[in-house]
Amino acid sequence: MQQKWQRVIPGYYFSLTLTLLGLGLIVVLPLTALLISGWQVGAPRFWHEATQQRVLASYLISIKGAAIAASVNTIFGLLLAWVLTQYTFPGKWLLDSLLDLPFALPTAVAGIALAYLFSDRGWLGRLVAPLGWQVSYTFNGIVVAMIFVTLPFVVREVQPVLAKLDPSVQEAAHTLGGSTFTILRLVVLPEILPALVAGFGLVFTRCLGEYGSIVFIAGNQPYRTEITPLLIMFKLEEHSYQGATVLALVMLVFSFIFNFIIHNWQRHLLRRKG
Amino acid sequence: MQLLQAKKVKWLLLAIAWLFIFGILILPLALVVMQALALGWRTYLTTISSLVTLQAVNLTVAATVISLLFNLVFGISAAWLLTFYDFPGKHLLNALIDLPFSVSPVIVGLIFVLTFGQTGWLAPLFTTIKVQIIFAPPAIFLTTIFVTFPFVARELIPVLAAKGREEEQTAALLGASAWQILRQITFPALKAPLATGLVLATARALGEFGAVAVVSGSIRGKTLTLSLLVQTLYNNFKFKQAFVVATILLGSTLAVVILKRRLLRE
Repeated sequence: MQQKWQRVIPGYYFSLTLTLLGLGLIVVLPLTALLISGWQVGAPRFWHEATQQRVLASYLISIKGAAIAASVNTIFGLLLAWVLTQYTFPGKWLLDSLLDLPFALPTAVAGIALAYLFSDRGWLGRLVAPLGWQVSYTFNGIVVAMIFVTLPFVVREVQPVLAKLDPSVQEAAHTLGGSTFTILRLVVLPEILPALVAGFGLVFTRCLGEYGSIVFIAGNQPYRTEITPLLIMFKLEEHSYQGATVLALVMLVFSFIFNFIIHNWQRHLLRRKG
Repeated sequence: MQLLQAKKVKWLLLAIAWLFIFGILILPLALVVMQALALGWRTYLTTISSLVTLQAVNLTVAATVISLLFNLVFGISAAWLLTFYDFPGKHLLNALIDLPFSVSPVIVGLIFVLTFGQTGWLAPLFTTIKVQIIFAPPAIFLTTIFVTFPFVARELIPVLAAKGREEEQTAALLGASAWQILRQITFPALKAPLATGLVLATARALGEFGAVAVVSGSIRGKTLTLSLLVQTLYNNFKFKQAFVVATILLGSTLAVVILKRRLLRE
């Protein structure tokens, strides 16, 4: 009668009904509609829609941008987390609080601010133009927007791990004659690697799906600066629901596989760490 | 490790960190404020108090309040269910709650169009009862609920799991009703994470753009949220006005971040 004992608290059926109702109506029903719609497309048509030149170009742009942004944010995220946990300096709370902003800032606001900032009239656009760099309406703009919206992800993953790092282990390694880089590589890195991997994964997935901040700065030219979510938007505007469905399913399956790999890699690292 | 504790290295790393944050975060935010005020206070105030802006504020606030109410009820019920009982399929349910976070906003819009749109699944039902969902406020409310779906549940579940079910079980054995247990035992323990979850959901609901852009149709005065109004103004080359409306969103973002910090400190 183990089961009965565990349901001693009243309200099981009530909370079950509410939860299933919420989940069913908001999440499961619409996602099922997507699956059914994808099924109805049929395999040959599906393949045709998923592999058009313009579509393939958009996958490449999205993946390349997300990979670059995730790498940049992993490096700077590590740096920021290090600075915030290992040093004391004036304005530390401000830096820490500022990092919360990209999480909460509406993507449209980020989008127009970055687009204007890097345009010919903007402060940074004028600054980098003489160097021959163009950001707004190019692939660079996509990367900048992606970096902005995912700025806090790696920091917030790594920060708690670095804060809990035992300084006595590093000191012991130092006493034993380890150089700074040896200690970083052999003592610090294994500790934070799972968090870095998780952070990289979060940034990458978010960047793939990101839309709002990118459309303003990207210029949205087919084959050059058109990300996959934007192409889905175009298909919808042309009432090509099948095309939109196919792209959405490809994106969803891709990010599930990616997340699965990242998740298992992270678990492997954590197990090795012990 | 002495190298990294050296003054010079510390200042170098700090300088890089601040420069990066200044370039990519502080400058864009400063630009929003400067551009908004570029035409002077008078223009700022007339833009912000114009009918279109106020209608957008109304719709955005309505969508936010509705998703917060949903989050409140669903979050508590899901946390209650997943902590207090064991049942088959519990892990699946737990995983499904997180699902909305990994769906791209544009895809969120798409799935609601496929369900409720003209050619959608439930179209016959809603045409007979003459309720329009897509290109009308209900679709905006539904997509906003979807994108904020896991926030409160995610905050509540670990806290409730850490608290355990002993107190509730004792109360139940003493004959307390579910409502009494919720009000007197469970709810007081959930106040802090509930507030955090609601604040996070508020931020997301106020600023949702991609999903809403797909389903709203951007009908002036009817289905324009603040984010969509910003887009419409910007695309019509009314840059300054777009930045004026953006300051409303920026202001609420700052309020949300400060509130969240306060809550976490307590």
